Amino acid sequence: MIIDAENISDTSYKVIICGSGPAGIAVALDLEKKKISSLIIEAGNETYSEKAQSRYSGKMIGRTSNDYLSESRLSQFGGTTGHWGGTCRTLDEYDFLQWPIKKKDLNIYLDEACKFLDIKNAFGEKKLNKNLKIIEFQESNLRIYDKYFNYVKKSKYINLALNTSIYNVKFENDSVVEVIIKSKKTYSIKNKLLVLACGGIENSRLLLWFRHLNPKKFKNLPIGKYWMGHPFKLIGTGVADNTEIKKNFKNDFHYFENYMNVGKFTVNISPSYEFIKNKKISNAGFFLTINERNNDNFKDILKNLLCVAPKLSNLILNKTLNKNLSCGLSIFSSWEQDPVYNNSLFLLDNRDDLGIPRIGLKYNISDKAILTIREIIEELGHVFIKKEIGRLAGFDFLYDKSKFTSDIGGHHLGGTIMGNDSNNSVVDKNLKVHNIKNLFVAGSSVFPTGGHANPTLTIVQLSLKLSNFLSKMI
Amino acid sequence: MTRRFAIKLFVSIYAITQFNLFFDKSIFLLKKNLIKKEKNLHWIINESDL
Repeated sequence: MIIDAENISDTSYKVIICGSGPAGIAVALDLEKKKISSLIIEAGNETYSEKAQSRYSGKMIGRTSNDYLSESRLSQFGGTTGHWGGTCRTLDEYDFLQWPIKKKDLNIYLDEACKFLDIKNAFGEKKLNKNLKIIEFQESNLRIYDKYFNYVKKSKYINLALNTSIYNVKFENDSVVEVIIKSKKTYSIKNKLLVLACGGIENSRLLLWFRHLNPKKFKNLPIGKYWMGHPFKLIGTGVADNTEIKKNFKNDFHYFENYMNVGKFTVNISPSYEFIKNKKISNAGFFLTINERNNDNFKDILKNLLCVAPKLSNLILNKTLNKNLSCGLSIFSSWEQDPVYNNSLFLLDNRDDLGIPRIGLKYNISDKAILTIREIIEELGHVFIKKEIGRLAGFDFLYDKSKFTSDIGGHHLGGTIMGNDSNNSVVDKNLKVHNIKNLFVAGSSVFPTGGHANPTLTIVQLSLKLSNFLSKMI
Repeated sequence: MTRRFAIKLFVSIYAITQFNLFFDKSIFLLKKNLIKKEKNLHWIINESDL
């Protein structure tokens, strides 16, 4: 049900959840199945409001504009699922090497997470060679508002307070016993279990703020550190024999319709663990898309190739004129940024209307991240030569980092990372903040590494794991 | 090397290369893959393309 902040009674909930995005809602719905009541505190309204959204603006240090902080997320019921792209895939087993849990620990929640996101549990893989594989993504059309708002309104176990923000927490020994919230007024509510599920930037922002207000708590935790994005960019192009592409990359996987508005046939490729290990690179997803024929892009690519490879260009030109087979390609990639301590979130001096300091983000892409896509596009280029499919080219920034203009992508990872050691992580394997008995963090901010897969499916799996853990504490 | 052995060796190599037995044919091709830059593109091409 929907409640006003002033009417919250201490007996109406066992768990307080801050945030109603996929992480928070997944926890609340799963607790409801176990007949455990929760209180969701949502800073935004049921739909978009300028007032709530304005709290997301901040300052970027690096190549990315300040707008990134407010444009890549939404403060409203359902959070950023209000405008997300919906692409889903599980992380690879080797993405968990630096995690305190393994892929199998999340696999038990995969079916349930797929149901939550309305997608098929199908994430196929097909070996292309020993270094590369074709992979399958699913696409979710979920808008949490559309699917769950009315449901939550009628729920007996889920209480939702809109336009209400968490402002502070009060401690007794190592437990959070009170939560200070702000709506029209400031209220104090009692706490048994508190879950921060406010998103990949706000979780760090709130913990940094709580540490500022409670200096003895959270002392040495690396809050805000190891922040990661998934760089997302058009990284290369190429020319190819249309039929050879379809023959060599044949699969029965779910395919993207008109990927990034450039083509109707897209193949998704990622590196094998052997390749990642041998080349000392990170993980990446490549989206190889056949462009519409006869577009300017194809002619430009061919002209460019003519300068470096005249023999090949003649061959392609003949094919184009006689057999109508050639096509242009666009290669997009969303890939892994390795965790770097200094890529971090920090509090600014200026504050929002609630009095909470705005957020700053210092972020620069690492050399390893650039090397990752260069190695993979070159390997894919060799496959194109060997199998006589065509030729690929990478853009300048793959070979000269100074030409890289920022495109972090919409995924916010890290900042409150998971680990066994409180010196280099913020939460433990059960998502509990180190040294505090009843404070938990849900969402992609806990990812110690990001892999390349879009994070929402993993966020939901982790939330279901958390809900299971919380239910045993009650 | 006797003439007979030389013929046997030639036939073996011919069979391996022609029928792709045991080895990848590309081992016998001397053409290398290269990265060639033109404007803002770095092409991954083969020597035979030039």
